[in-house]
Amino acid sequence: MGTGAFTSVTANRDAEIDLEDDANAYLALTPGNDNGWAASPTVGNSANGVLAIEMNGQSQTSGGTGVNADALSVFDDVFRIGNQADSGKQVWIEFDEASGSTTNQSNINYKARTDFYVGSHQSSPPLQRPSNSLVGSSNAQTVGTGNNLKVGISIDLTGLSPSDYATDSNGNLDTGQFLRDITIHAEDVSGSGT
Amino acid sequence: MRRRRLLVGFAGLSLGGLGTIGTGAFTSVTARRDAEVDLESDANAYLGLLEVGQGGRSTTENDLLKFEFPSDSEPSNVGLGSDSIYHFETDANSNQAGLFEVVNQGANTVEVYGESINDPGSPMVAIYDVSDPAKQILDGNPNSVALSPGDSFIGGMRIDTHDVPIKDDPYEVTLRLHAEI
Repeated sequence: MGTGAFTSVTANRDAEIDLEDDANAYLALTPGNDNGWAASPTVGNSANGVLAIEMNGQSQTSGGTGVNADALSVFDDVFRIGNQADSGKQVWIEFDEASGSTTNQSNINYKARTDFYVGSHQSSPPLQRPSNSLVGSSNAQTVGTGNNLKVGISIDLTGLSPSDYATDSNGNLDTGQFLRDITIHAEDVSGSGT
Repeated sequence: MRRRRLLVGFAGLSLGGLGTIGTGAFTSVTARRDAEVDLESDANAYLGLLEVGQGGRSTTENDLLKFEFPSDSEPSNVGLGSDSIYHFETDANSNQAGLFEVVNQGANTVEVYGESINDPGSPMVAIYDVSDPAKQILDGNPNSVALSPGDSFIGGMRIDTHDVPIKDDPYEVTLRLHAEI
């Protein structure tokens, strides 16, 4: 008869993990200045302190409930990605089209026409799509400790005619959601450790 | 003139930072967040564009504002003359001031102006505020209308047909509307 033999053991140990709201997390997500209205932590889906982007009827505007069709819409500084950890991070974004909405019923590639970019658009006319994309790991940018990125959104629906959009039986635009969610990635800068 | 295209810039410059330097370490984080962006009709979008009048010279087709000179309600044998400058600030058969309304339904004050996108030898379009007796052109060089959130202005259209040859088919030009912080 041996001692110390066992078939299984379950041992509970304390692990204290604090959940913070987005503003105070190691990866801090906060509304921007220019267009932070679309990422307010106090209205719509963000009312729980978790940042959400709402360019719809939920956000605090003067009645507008979405972006114009056949237009280039450029929104500087919608939200910020801050690094409150103790080492530099590589940050990038991915995003998804909405499914079962306007998108799938039309020929419009909303994903190709939408971009998340860093910084501000070129202020002198003509208005152009900002170029400093943050979408995809190949466009990752380094954010040092204590720093943050200003992230804007551009939506280029120019060059489309009404027939390109999905319409309902009355010939009206099938308006609705075309962007569903974003994923923010932050990883250690290679070789820097943590 | 059957098409209009519009260009919107709700954007600007800003400064500022988070200012917090935290402590802690993480190797990687992937955070998924809701992002709902909706397509809207011209009437309900952040830059609201509405027809004014009877739906003739300015109309809403497929929820998008467009202009027609002459309108379908006018005799088909009329039209604009050559080498002229026309100001249209009511719909055909209407006493209501204005052809269209621009409403700032966004969250920031924006400067609004219009730009003509046309081939050489075709009519040039420009917009003005119909409440301005001088009919000053709002083309951004340098004049524009500042609209606070919720504000609007009623616009008319100036059409310049100098050096534009007469032809049977309508000319198609684009009015590009800019709204910038």
